[in-house]
Amino acid sequence: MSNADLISMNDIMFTAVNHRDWDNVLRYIGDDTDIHVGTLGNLRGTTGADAVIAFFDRHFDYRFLKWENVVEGDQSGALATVRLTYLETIYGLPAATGQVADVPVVVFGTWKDGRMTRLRVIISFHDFMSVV
Amino acid sequence: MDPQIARDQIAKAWNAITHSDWEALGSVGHEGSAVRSEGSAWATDRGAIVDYFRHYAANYHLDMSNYTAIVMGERAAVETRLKLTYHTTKDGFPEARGQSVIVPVGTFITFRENLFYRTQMFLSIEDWMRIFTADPAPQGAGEGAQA
Repeated sequence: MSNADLISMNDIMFTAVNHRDWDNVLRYIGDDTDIHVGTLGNLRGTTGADAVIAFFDRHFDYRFLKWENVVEGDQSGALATVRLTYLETIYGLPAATGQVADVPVVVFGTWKDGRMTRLRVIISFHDFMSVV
Repeated sequence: MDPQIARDQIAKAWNAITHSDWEALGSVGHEGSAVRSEGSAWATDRGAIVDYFRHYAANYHLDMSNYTAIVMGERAAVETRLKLTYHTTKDGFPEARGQSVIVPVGTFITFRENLFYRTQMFLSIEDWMRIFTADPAPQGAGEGAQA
């Protein structure tokens, strides 16, 4: 895969998330993809990805406003901003009342044969917590 | 920019943070450099990155030796598995007993004239806060771990 391929696949994934086009997201996730998303713990494969989607669908509306890619070899890094609308209360956090926050999100991926073998998402809740 | 120069500068900075070598860390910063963490405002002076890490080093040891650097032109993204060790009690926080956790950190760097020009660091504060409930780690615990 070339750098252009990796950038294109990252762009498709972010755009597909915004359109809730899960087929176009999950096409890049293999059965053995290691997934680490925030505090959701270590997950694996499309089942893990489904759990991540279910968590965010339950608690938020969300849309990526922008992202920039840095890629090299089989590695990708993306710095994105997601607009979160807090719709259903997360246990231990303040009550959801529709608060809106633009939150930095960092996405690292390791790729092989057009799919991710590893996905790590770091969600910076600092700004989110200052809003809720 | 030669990718190897970017890798060498990242290695120098990350090693300097790990060993609290503030002179070495300051030497990789461009005179017009700026740094920020999370969504905070940019701190725009050459010593800002040193001040940032020196502040945390007063209470924590920051082992940055486990990382992957992705370099593309003048930009780099670095995924670090930071081994954070709480060595000195911070005012108003639980007692430091040598607790240790691994905190994933994402860093995005723009270079200018082969030096750090813009540096943005991101982590989950929830990951960091686990340090206060972690058990003191035996020597070497967490090395190479993937959080």
